[in-house]
Amino acid sequence: MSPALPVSVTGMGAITGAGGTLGESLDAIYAGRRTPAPPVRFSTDHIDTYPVLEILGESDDGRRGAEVDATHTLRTTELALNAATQALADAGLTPDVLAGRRVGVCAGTTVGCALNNEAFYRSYKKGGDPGPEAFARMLRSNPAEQVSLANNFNGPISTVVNACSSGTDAIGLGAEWIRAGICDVVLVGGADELCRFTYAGFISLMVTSNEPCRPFDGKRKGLNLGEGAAFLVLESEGSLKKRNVKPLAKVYGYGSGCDAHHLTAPHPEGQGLEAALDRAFEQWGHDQRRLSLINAHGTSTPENDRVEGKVLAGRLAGIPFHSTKGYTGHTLGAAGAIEAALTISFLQRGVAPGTVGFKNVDPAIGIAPLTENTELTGNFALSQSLAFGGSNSALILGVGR
Amino acid sequence: MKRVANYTLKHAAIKGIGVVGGFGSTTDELLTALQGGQKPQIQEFDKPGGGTLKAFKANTSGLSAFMERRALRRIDHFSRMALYGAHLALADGGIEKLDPERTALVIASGYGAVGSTFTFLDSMIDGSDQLSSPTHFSNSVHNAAAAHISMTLGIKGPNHTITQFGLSVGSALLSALSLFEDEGLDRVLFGSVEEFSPVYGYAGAYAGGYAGDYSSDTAERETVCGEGAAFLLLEREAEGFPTLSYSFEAVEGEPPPDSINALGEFPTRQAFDLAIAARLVGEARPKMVVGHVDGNGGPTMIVEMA
Amino acid sequence: MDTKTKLKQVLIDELNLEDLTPADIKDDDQLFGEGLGLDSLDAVELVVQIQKHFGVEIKDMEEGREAFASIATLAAYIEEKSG
Repeated sequence: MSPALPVSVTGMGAITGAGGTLGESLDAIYAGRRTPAPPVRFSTDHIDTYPVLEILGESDDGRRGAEVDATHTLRTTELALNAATQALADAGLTPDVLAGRRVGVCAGTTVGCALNNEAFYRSYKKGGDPGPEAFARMLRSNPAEQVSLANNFNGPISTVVNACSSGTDAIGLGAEWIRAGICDVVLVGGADELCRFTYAGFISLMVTSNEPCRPFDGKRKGLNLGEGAAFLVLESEGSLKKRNVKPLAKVYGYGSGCDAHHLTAPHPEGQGLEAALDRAFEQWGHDQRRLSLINAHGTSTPENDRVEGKVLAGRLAGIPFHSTKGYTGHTLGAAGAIEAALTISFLQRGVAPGTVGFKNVDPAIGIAPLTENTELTGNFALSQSLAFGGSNSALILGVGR
Repeated sequence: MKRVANYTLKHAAIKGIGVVGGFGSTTDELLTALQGGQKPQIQEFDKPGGGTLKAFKANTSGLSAFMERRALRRIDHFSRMALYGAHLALADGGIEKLDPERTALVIASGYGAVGSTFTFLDSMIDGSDQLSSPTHFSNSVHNAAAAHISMTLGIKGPNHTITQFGLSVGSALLSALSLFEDEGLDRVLFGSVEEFSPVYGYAGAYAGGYAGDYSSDTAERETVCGEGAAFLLLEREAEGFPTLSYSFEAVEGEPPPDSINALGEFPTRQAFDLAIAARLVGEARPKMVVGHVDGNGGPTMIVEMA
Repeated sequence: MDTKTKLKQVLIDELNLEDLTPADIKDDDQLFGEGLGLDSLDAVELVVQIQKHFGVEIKDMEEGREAFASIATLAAYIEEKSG
């Protein structure tokens, strides 16, 4: 594959367990602050408790960008609209500026498309007649559709449901819409709320830790779940020129590859991840030697970090890497989008934060992630995701200086 | 709503078709059902609050021709329909072995693995959170079918599942066709899968309201729900095969026969319309259009002879 | 029914090993890899099923690893814990 044209990023927004905005999230991360705690939005009968990174009270802080009623849509949609509104504002894209532009939305999620409403289903099971409201609410909550409708966009919409790599894939697929000339602007990102269904599911898989997570650490026990959303504004060169603005960053490469190995476990040698990297590097036209940072998936599960660690210590050896999962939790369908926004921010500031929770090298991995705020010298970074079902994807992001 | 300007992506040739639904598991059976010949059997389900739901259910027992029973032990009905459709599309295309690295998989589903979603909730509600089943949880994710297909057929290229309710097929096809920009890929296996659930049927899923304008009237509308999987094996253009292209502007052409009577109602029925168009297009029908407009607009998909 | 036979039936029913009967499974058959050919997802499913059918909780996979070696070791573990 010959190198593809880089696609400009002109705005970013995020809401995470670390902070209500991208800026607040960055402040917490650079300060080494994390706040994992047992869930408060729902309760379960699990014997143990598992800390999570929830977003509490985002409805009351006046930052909500669009008229959304939580009883009207899923919280996932609220989170998506919040981050999308931040991103549009950051890009300076008001409705006036957007008028006449072809705007698409490509977003990842896992929860934002499923009818896992427990109260509704309990009633249904008991032979009750709970009515269609829970279903209608799901229909009103598709993240890509709602971001598009709330802003009166007229371009294509696509909700990517590739489990934990959805956010990364949504950015890669959306970038293609700019390259193909289908859109002038594409909002790309991901959103996921934390709910009892996912919480119980991950605990049943025994990949959840009852302590704050420790990515790549020899004593890691599992992940902490989180919730949140992030959106990036991708813009065509024509649109940039028309309004005379400079990009914040560019998406230089994207690739995905499938393990074809197991429903839940990654390929032991990271085969699909290697294939995703091949594609991303080909699209970029360069290789790992030009990278100065890797934002790893680094969920802190024994399996993920061991397999990812093998690739990090293999072809990616020598490149500083870290995991931000300790600050945000694993936000599933939003993770790739949140981490892309964070990674671009780290490149912009020229400082990569450490990996909260990491203390000791796992002998099975043999290398350590960054442990404290570290100055970056180059302009390019890799952000990668590994998912359920064997999906792997990688983004090469870069800033001009 | 006004759509974006005309844009046509690269074409792709349809080299193989696999369809599974209440009508059976061949395009001939689908066409027969379409022409009102053999009506699929309707199954009825009790509805809370009284009344019954009607549905055309797909039978996947034919999958045993392609897979050992042991290999299917953890695979639910949703993924079995998709696996069956995928195998049939490859068989129709005369493909015995795919090149793993040079093949991609793109799947559209409006509602995902609804059966396993509720089975997982059952395990939580009937037992406890502590006793909820990791197997059902793993099968409940939207990309479970894609995962099972990639494992079974050894597809190691990009693997995407797209959900957009009634726009799922058009939305997923946009990504499927754009994968041909990657010179490292020769084939894209494109498919849709939708599973009937009495819970969804009850809640009015199949009675319209994709845009969220649910009203109690539509719940009472007499609708037969459907389910199934339709797969198309796509390759770069080739002489003598139907080609598939994509546009945002309505174009002139004959639409395929309305498939609702043969299939029932479900969000990804357009993938069957594409399969029908691919079977019917030829000298008598040079071009067939599968369009869809929903609350947020929709693309137009065109099947014509190369 | 003794623990081993009950365990075999639970495996067949809950892991959908429809092609087997309890008589087909030997006490010292390995559960994972060779033997029954179960995998990591079956392992976590078994943890849930053992709790459901025998009331025995396996807290983590480190603890479970030895117990999961064969039908015989797992039955012994269950009997010891349910004491």
